[in-house]
Amino acid sequence: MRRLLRTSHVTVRFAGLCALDDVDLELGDGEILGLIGPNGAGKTTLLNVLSGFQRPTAGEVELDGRRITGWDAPRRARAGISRTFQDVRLFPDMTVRENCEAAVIGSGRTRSAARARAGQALGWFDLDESADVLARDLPYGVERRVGMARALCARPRVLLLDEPAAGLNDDESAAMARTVRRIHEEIGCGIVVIEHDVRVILSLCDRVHVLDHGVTLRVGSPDEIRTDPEVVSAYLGAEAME
Amino acid sequence: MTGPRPDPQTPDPQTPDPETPGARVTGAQATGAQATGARAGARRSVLARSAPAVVCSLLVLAVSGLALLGSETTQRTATQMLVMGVITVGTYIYVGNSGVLSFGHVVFVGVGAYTTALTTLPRGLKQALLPALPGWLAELELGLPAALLVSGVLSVLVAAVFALLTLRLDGMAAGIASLALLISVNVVISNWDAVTRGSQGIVGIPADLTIGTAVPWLIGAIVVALTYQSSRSGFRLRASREDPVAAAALGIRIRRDRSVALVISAFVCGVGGGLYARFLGALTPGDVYLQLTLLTLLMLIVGGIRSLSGAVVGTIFISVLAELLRRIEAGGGVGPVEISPHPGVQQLILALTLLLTLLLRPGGITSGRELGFAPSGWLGGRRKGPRPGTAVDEPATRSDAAPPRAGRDNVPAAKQGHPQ
Repeated sequence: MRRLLRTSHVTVRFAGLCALDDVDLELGDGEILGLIGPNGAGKTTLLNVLSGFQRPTAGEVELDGRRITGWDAPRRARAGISRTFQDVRLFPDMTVRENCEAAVIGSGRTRSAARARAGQALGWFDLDESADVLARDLPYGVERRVGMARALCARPRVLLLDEPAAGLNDDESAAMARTVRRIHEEIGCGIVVIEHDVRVILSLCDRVHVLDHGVTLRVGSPDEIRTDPEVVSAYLGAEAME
Repeated sequence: MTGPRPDPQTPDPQTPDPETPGARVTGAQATGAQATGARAGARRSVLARSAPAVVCSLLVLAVSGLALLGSETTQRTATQMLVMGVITVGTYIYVGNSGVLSFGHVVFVGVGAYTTALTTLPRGLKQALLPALPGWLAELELGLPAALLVSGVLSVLVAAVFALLTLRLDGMAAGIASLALLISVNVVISNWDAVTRGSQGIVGIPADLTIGTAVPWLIGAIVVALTYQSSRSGFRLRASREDPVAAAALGIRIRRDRSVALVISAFVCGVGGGLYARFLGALTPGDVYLQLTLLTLLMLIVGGIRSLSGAVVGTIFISVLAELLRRIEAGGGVGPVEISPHPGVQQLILALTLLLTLLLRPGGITSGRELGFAPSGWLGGRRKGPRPGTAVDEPATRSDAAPPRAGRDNVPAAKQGHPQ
């Protein structure tokens, strides 16, 4: 598999606190990589490093073999790195459709491209009926789907998902995982997904990267991770062994 | 309290499953079906998008028309309102779309005002007033439209410097930096005797502005503002106003779009400044300083800083209110009623209006909505609330409450887009 996105020796320090320490992450083209670890492990910080919101104290980020460490977030978005946020961050005074269109117009494309792509993404997430509702009026579960639809409107090569199933119930989490799978088949982008729901991670991902206190604990297939004694004791607990 | 709504974190149980049959459409089908819908949608949305400009222009025409029936004083007040409208709409283009408060836009108004003053002052008078003026400028005598365009262009040049200094800043810092710029420019104007005559000011500017000559410029400003607002750059800027982080994640280069808005905004403010000079007839540094800044912001905030309709409605509302209060302040007869003079009442009530707006209706009269006539247009049918026009209901009653006798002049305020 061709390597799409890579970090080498990425370190992030916040005034004495070491959030990430010498992390090497690799994402293949079309691969779904799970990023797991206990709270404070540095998962979101790593996602911020990948999307350009956090400049690493040391280390490099590469996209397609090209060094992008110094690129800011908009430039990376235009280069095909798209992300969602843990707290969704929709544009509250815009409709669902406009939120989606913003992802296309935002990177400088035309209105007609925006309309077409927004229409398609709304279809994927079954949001047609909510298309003209203001984002501020949406129920939480729908908000999450709009956030994902918006990120996909940018037609990313790399999609970074920050806890896409947070706050959803079991059925909704499962549906979310199925949707991610399906979209992945359709678009074929590489995906890095942070998720606390172990079942979602294990069923969805090709590979799993485990972080603990800013350090890479293990990288491997879901089966390897599930049975790794160190990962189990640090994070997964007994339930994943079933 | 009655329904089963346990906590806001719990998702809506009626949320449809993203996997429902039918949701699975192949890319090709979806694009085909949407292309047809998109074309129809595009036509509809062009119409709906121009609605705020049409409604705002009609509103301006209606108020101006009413003023034409009034006394000379009323007409002069209406002319001032139209000039203020250009300045407010110009300021709105940047402040409203970007969400960054600026105290510095009166700098552009000042540049425009002095430019128009210097280029339209009669040659003989100019040479007598400003003997140290460079020869080419002393000889120059332009017509109003040309002078206003030159004013706009010069304001744009000043905006370029402004952009370098303040566009890196956000929120509070940006506001303070713009205020610092306003003060600096005022110091320059006040002391540049050779060109501005310093604090003595320039007199003898042809004060020939009337309702008829001012209206087209305000309508022009409204059209420019709406065109920018519905452009792609305007759309991106509004997204960044809502959430700068999410905007950056979608590829929006906020500074670039802010620069575009600032340039257009400065141009309109420059034109507004030129009109202002031609309205006043005499121009001193104090005319384009703090008081004008505060008046502009008052109009924007009371009208609703997040929409073009807000800028227009706010200008009309505050102008009418200020004029009524001025009459009460002066005392004498308002209609059949004799009123004793109440000095200071105007400033007091205007300040109270701002305070009440911030407390009771922080979004201003329009609450970020645009006036429109399309029932299911891009702003009309989106909310469950009343039609956009009814949003103006509240302040109309408030204006009844504020001055004891509203009289005929209250008509424009009460009329603001009320459909019934």
